[in-house]
Amino acid sequence: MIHFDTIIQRGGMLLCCVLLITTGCRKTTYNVIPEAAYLRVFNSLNYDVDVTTKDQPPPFLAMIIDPEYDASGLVTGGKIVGDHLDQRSAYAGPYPANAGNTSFRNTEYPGSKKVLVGPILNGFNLSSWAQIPSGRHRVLFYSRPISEAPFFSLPERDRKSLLVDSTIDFTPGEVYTMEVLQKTVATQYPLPITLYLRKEQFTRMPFSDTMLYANFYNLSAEGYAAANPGAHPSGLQGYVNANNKCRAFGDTMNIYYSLFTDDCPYPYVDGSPTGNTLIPGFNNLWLGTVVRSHVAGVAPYYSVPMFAAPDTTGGILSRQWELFILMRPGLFPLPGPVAVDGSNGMAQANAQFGAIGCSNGSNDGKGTTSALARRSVPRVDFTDLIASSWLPNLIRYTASGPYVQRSFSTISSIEIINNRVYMMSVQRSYPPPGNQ
Amino acid sequence: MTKRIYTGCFIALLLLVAASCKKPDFEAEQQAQATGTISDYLNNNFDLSLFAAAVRKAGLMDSLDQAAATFTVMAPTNSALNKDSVFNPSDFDHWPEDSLRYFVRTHILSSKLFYSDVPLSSDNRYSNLNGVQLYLSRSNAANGTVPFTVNGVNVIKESSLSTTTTARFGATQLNGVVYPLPNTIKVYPGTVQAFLQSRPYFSHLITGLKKFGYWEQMGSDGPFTVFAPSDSSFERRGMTLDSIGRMDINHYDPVVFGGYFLKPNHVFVTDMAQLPPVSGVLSLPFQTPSANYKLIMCQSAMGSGVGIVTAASASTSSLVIVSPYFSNPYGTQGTPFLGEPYWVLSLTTLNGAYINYTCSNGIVHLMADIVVMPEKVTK
Repeated sequence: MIHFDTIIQRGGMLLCCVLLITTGCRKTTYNVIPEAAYLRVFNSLNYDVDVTTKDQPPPFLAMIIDPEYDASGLVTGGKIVGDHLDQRSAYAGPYPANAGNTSFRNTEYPGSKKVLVGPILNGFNLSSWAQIPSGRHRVLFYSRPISEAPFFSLPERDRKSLLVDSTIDFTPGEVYTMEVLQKTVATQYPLPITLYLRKEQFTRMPFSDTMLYANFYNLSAEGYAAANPGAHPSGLQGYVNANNKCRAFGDTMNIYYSLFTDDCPYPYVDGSPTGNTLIPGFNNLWLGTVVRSHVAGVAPYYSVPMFAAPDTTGGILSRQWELFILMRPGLFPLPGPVAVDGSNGMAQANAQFGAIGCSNGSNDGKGTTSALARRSVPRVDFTDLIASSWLPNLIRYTASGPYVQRSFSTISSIEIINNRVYMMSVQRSYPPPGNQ
Repeated sequence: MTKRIYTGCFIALLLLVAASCKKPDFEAEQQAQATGTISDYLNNNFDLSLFAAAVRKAGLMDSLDQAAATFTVMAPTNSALNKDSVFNPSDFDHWPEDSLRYFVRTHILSSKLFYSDVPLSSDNRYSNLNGVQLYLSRSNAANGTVPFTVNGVNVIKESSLSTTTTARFGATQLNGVVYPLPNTIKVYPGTVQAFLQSRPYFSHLITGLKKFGYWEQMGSDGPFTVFAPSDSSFERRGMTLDSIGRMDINHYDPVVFGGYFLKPNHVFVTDMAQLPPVSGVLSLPFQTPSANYKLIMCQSAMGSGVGIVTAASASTSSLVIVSPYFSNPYGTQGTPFLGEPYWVLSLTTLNGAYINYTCSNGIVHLMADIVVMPEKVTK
């Protein structure tokens, strides 16, 4: 005689077995893009949207690669869609810091889009680059209204503002940075737009871990510096907010660098001062020349030493910060922290001179409130300001190994675009935090 | 004993399973939000009686009474129509039937549009019953004084006795939403060129625009913002049709008539409050067709008017003004809009009767005086 409970037990076991067998059969398929190229896209249209420009297409884009059209010629889909591409932020860090951002505004592609991203290539983490199929692709950029609605759900009339239509041949395994740029200065709308594609070389170059590397581009619109001379109507606002806004740099500029000690702590603490003491021997050293151009090609990387800290942290936390001084050919920077002699020093970039400070005082490129930044930004004799605009330090402070903070060098591209400067950094992979 | 417990459990389990299968119907009956139609609302509202009369005369009252249809009605209040010289329902008898129909249909959208569904940005376009797109703008700027506008008309907030500061707009009816307006929406179905031509009192402006080669483009895409003084304004400043015709185009900067329009901009007066400059910036000057001059509208020295300044001075605090009121005290140096005061504390207090004529390729504002003094812009 079989007991009732035994039946339940056996039945239960059978049920479990069936469940295990059926779920065990599930096969997970992974999305793989064979022969992938790696692509990162920035919307570098940085004109202000105000009442004088409200009839311009908003600088808020939808990227469509390999578009599909309906019978009436209206775009209805694409193989790769990078929607809600907002104006880029001042700083594009080595890791996709905004990947978890839930705002619909995406300051770069892939950014917060959930797509396959690049691997670690020759020690460089390419997780800020999306994988895309290589080969010839048609790339479109549309201007779209600033709203959460997906591009293809927008009314028909909002899907017709085509800014860029181009065909690009992507080589497998290559790393590309693509930007939408303003081509020339114009009073007509829409402004002339151009697409810029740079085949990055950093994955195949030798870099030292103890040096900081930076290269410089001036991707401003043709004629921008000539059309926007002089001081900003709001005075020194860009400078005292320690952000990336300034005035137009000249079209051809020599670059020098100076190194300073005692950067403010990272992460930035409100009002903490950035030091103005030069590191002896590292004042106004010439690096090279930057010329305004939209021609694709990688500018030479210049190296700047990263000094170990002379403090008690075991030499792992460097607190230097870097200043890049731009001077018109024929002008030379004065020795000392402030490269020019005159009221306000370097505060307003212009066709003759300007300077880009790379310091934690820029609060990761976000800038600060003016009241606090006034106490933070370095100056000499109160009035002589050292830099015209601010970007994050070339040194990244990251938890690694047994250290809560440790300094790592980066390889950065600094781009001057009209009246702003931008930084894109990559970094070698480093030991993860742990208690070794 | 054990068997009985297991049986009990088994029955309980069966009961639970059986009970869980029951699908209760939770769908409640739709509650009516309002009991009346838009027609009822218009007919029963003393402040909207003139517009109701216009709707009735245009034969649209029945349509607005259909409970199943959806509409959004931008209803000018009686005081709004008074500004357009309509004081009695019988005044509409003087209007041609087509014009009245066009006028009423201008104010009606064929969908139910709630305030909260309009994106928080400028110039969201919605088609009205004439198939013409209206510009609906929302903004959080200026402390919320102009949160919601239609073609530059500031929609009246729903009055509320509560202490909440969140503005509410529109009265919801069975078949749509009614938004009361303090001004009528003025839509002209043609281009700005056709608008200027259709009015007999712009002959001086047209002559000047022709003289300096701007007239032909006024019929093209634009968009344009035209600041249009009437003939009497020019005559008052000693500019006759004859003297304009004799002006030497090599002697004057083209801004002498290029200062009367902006391209490519379409700017409603309320835009200036909805899209203010960032703090620290004195004004946002518009580029005129002449590279040497900029136009400042309803900002800084110009008060609630419009003025032309030299491009070099536009971004400084010491403006070099070439408009007729350059010597007035700061804040009253602009040319005022027709029928408006020189200087008001807020743009929302402008009367609005002669501003924001929306044409198919731009906007026309009627001005009380000329905008550029010719003798100040000689080369």
